[in-house]
Amino acid sequence: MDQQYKKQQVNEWYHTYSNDVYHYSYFLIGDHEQAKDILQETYLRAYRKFDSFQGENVRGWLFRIARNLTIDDIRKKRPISYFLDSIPILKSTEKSPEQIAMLNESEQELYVALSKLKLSFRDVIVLRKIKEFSISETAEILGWSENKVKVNLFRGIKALRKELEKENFSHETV
Amino acid sequence: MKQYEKMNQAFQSLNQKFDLPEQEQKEILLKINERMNDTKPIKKRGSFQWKYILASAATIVLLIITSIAFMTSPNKELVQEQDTNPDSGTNASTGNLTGEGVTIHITNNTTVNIDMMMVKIYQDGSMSTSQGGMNADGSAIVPGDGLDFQFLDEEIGEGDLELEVELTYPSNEEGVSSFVTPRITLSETDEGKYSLQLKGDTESNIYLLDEAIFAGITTNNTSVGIAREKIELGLTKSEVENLFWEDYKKGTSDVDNREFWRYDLDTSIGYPSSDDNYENGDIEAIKNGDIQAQVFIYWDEDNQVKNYSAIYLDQDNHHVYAYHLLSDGSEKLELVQKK
Repeated sequence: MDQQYKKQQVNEWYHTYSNDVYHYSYFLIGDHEQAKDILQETYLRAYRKFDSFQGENVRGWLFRIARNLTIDDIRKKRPISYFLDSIPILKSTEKSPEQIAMLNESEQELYVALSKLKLSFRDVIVLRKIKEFSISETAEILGWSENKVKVNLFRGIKALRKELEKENFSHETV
Repeated sequence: MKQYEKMNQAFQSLNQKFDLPEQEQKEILLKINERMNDTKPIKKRGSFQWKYILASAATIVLLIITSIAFMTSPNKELVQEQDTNPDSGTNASTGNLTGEGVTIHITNNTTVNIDMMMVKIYQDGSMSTSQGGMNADGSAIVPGDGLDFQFLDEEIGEGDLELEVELTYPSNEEGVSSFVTPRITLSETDEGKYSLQLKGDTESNIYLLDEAIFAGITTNNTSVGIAREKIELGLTKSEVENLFWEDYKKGTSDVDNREFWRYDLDTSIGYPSSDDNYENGDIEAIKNGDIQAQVFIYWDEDNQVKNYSAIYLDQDNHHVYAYHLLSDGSEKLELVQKK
């Protein structure tokens, strides 16, 4: 296939989905610079693997690439999170990055509670609730069965509520 | 039902607050296009070359200036370039900064030759300073060799130091030109001196070890000491059951579907609580003394111990650590949470 065409497609995908991909990675990893690196690598990998793309769901495909890169990054930089899938990625809730500081109080508490969940819970909540993928799309991105997506989403939301309660979050939305 | 709608709204509102700034979005696209246009799309190759050229130029200039000193000394000196402000240009300077501050010695304990090391120090998630170093005669930093990096107090503020090193390699057939190590948090030290090792056997898999933490791997926790004595790689499930009884919780990692057993060692009465889902490390319980240690044993396809991790409270400094015995037999210690 024509290289120019591939580049043009990647550029179009970037304009359409770059914020989506960045959000996903940022919610998983909690680090602006790392999320930016993963965003860049995601599109480069999409370019390199262009011929293997079957043309079905670009957004889901890009998210699958971003997830693989993000988990690889976690495995290298935060091995404890990879080994145990249980340690919060955000190291300190007191020192908020600039972006978190821009959230209102309840959004900030929701974000912090989310970041305290284990990776698999956070992953499924971000995909289903924040990025609004369908159950089958989420299952494909995560490589899980649809049933596992449903079970983990249920447990994840329960764990999220528990975290919010721990923070005495009188959040009428939850 | 109304509650769920409101929760969904809260998620959406969160989503909209995290857009990437337009300028950064454009910069990333520019880099993507530059790298797509590169006929050899090798990770970070394009972005690194200017540093190499700059460092080489600085080396030549400094070689001329300091040639007399070098001729009288048989020891290799090093040349460093330092950038205390990530947004500014790079200033070349010799590596003879004096006074107090922070000294970081990095030894190449890999099996590969390294042309240049660029040390990047982060605090609160942002890079506070960086410094490059290479042998002044342009020779590679061979396995066993090391460099000292010195930073002034004013370059480094209060708080935890995180560090990563960008490595440049001599040109080779594999085409790997540079690699950035995973970032580590430096252990506390009174004297401001750190000794680190670069480990790894391929150019794209190098990592840093903080000798203060990793040398000898001291785990100041009786339960972990017993676990380290008893658990060996390759033990069968029945052998592990004989060692630690059958009182384990079975789980599967959601990251890569591996089976693991969790042992809670020396628990207080009433632990675990009824809502324990058996998959998580319980840092809070470890911190408050409800458990002395949690050991996670991972199994290979032959149902033998592949690797294990133990989370525990250090009985001396009261920080929470994770000790890992990895599948290649090496040990790692990781600071999980300070007291």
